[in-house]
Amino acid sequence: MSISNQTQKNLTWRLTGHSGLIIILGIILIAGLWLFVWRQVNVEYNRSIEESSQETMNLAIGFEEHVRRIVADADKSLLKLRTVYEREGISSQAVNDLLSIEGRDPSGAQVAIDNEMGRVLIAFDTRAIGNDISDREYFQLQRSAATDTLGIGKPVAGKAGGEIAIPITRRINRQDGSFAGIAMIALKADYFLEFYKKINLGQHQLISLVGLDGIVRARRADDKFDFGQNITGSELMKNVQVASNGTYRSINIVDGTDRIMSYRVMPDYPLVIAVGKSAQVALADSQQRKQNYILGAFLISLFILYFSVLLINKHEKLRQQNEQLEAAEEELLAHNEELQAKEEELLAQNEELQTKEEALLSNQERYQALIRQSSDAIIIYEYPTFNVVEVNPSAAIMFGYTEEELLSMNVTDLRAAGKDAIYTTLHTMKEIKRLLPAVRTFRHKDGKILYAERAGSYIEYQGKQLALFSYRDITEERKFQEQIRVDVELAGMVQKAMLPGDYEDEKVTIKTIYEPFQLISGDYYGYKWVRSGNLLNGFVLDVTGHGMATALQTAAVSAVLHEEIEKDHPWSIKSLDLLNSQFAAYLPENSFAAVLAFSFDFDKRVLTCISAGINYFLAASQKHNGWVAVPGSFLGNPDFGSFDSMTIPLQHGDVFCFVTDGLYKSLVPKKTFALYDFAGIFQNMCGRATREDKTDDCTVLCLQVKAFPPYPVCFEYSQPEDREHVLLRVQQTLQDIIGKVDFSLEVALGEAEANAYRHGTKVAIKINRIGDRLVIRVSGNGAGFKGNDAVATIRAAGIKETFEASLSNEHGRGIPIMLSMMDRVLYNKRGNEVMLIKKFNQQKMREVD
Amino acid sequence: MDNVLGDVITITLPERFHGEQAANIGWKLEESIGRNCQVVMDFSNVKYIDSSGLTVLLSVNKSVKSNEGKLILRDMNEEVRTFFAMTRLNQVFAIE
Repeated sequence: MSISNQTQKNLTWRLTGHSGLIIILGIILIAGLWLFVWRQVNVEYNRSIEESSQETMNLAIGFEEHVRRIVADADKSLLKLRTVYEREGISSQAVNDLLSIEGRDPSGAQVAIDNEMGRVLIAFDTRAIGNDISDREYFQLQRSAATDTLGIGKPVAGKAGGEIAIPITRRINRQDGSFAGIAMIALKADYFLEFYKKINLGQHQLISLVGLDGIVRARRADDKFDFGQNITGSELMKNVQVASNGTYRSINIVDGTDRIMSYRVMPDYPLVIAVGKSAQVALADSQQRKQNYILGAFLISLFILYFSVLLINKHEKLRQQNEQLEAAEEELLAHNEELQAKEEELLAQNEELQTKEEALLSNQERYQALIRQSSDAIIIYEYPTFNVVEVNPSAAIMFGYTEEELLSMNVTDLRAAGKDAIYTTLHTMKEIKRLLPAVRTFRHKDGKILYAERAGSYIEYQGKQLALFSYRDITEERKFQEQIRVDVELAGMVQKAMLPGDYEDEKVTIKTIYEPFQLISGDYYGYKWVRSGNLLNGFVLDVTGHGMATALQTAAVSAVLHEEIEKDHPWSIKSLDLLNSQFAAYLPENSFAAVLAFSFDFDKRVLTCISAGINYFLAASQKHNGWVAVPGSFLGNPDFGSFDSMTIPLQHGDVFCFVTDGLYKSLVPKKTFALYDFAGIFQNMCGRATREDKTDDCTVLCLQVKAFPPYPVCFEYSQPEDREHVLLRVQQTLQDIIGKVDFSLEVALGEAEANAYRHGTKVAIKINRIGDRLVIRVSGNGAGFKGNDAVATIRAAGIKETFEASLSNEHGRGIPIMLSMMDRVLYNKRGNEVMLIKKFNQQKMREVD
Repeated sequence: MDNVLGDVITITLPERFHGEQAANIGWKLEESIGRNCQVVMDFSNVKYIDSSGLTVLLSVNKSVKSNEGKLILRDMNEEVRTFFAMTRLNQVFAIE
């Protein structure tokens, strides 16, 4: 018997739902339990606090009454004593009787009358008579009091007996109202605390009598009596500010005990009564109950959890049994469906076989017709012998055999290649099913070599493994292509032969690179010495495209440019404008030429560059250290010709590189080049120009100026990335002038340059030689400083001594180093330029000259 | 760092020891200095040094000493050795 799907699903849902319900119910029960515990603990805690507050407040009321009675009795006695004294004087019997009575009171430590000077006139304890109590605060307060008020002083030790007592005082006036002294009863401080014995608030109980001035008059906690503490900032005094009585909980400022305190401000006297019970004692019962509640709740929670897990496990087992039942039924259904599908598949296969048989017959006829009619030669070989099993008429024509002759041949009879190579190819084709078209050599019946493009496929037909090849004879086509290649190669050779090549004399070194992308190039360059060898005109040219037509255009344009550079004057914008109109004939639509024309004028010591589409060149000169931009449009369109020129002063050692687009694209990501290293940069460009993966013609003309003496020269930089290159070029120049590397000179120059660089954005270094002296001027655009004063100070102190004195200093050695290494160090008035002079061996320098 | 073996750090200085390059070497070195470590600076490649290079060396020396370590400068060429003598810093550094 099986359960229906819907019933099973409902059952599964119910079972899964029950597990969830059990978990939720368990969570609710545990949460409810803990909520109850939390609430009960809070209620009990509040109840304990409330009970303790009530208890301490009741005791505070009692303590207040106790204190009030003592103070009122003392005040009453004082008033009586004062009245008798004022009426009858000091020597009266009545005064002495009163002293005797009050002095014997168990609460009193002393009874006395003091005159206006603070001298004790009469006292119960006669040892005090004659003592000076004018320094006592209670005396001073009464002396300065405007009205007759009861004074309750701070606890003090008696001058006669040394007992701690609280002075209760009244002012004595003369008949005219002036101050005549005080009447004083000193009450034993611990007498106030006799009340302590009457209460039982457990360990750490506290009673305290405090003045509204914040000074503790008497205090007893845990049987320990003390007094005199200043508790102005305590919680008690803060509460007193807010209400005249109340209860609070706090950590005691004196002994650090956590207590529940009740206090009362006495309405008649400036005193505060406080009674405290230890919070630990007060909350002991509620804490114990709290622990019991938590333990109980924990055990009940465990029980609920255990019970929930037990229930879930039972439900889970039931659910698994249900799922197994469901799976078994689904399997049965699937098996049944599979059987039906197989039956249908068999029927379909049977039908397909019939259809294929019919199609095969039809295909065979079409295939035969296709092979026979094909203009390409088709030959089919049989595996594994590779004998020919079928050919078409085109194959017979291509190879010169009859179809019958071909059908008796093997693949190796037709290919002009080794047997092993042929068999390897055919076995490979069997694996990869197809050979892509490729040119191979074959043998004609007359022995001549045929070039044919062949493609092959592996097929299986009527139980046979076959290799079907088609061939297209390209022998004539190939001969024609070979002829063109020879012509183009020849044209390329002619192009190269026309180039002027490298050159070197006392004025310049010229190095060139000419690397066409293909056999012939759209690039070209040329240069020519004119004006008796004092003017070097030249150009680099890049015509769009790479083919034969481009080569012819290049030849035509370069011929015109050659005519121009042979003239006895430098390039000008006007001359390029004129040429542009001529080039229209050689550069029809969609083709144009890019040119950079240059003229090195060694009379005027300037380089003039005019751009017509090649807008950049590399320069290492006085002010340039990398790519120099020159605007200018392409040649070939006379209506839109717009060219610009640039003039750069020349000095010894300058390097310029004129490049076409092919090399510029691979060089341009680098912003700076070590151009002072002429050989190095040229080698770098050669490497780039001859790379296999280049995509354009690459042409370079690099020129190093040697014409002028190596001094005077000037180098400037304003970009941080140029700094290192300029310094290396300066280093090279110094070596050229003095014939060697001079450590001292380089360090001194380095100090001057570093100082200029640190304080400015532009630095210029001028190097000259005057006789046997080398003169270097380093200037910056910084604010400058009093350099000559600094030099004078160091010279006065002594250079060696200056070094000695600054051994531990990390800075401040620049000028002393320059002074040590140079013959003379001189600053300009502004202090932003320093002149360094050093004398060298004249003989050595002459050799350099 | 060329080599850090136990408490010994060895570093070979470049041909030109000055400016930002020297400062960078100094910063990296000072970060690696530990208690009682010995720093050995190899000058065999150095052909140029100026006051900025000296500043870096003095700063490293200070860090090494505050960690109770030792800084040794070795294999100087004659010109660099003379430069240290001229600036009297041969009294400050241990030069081998």
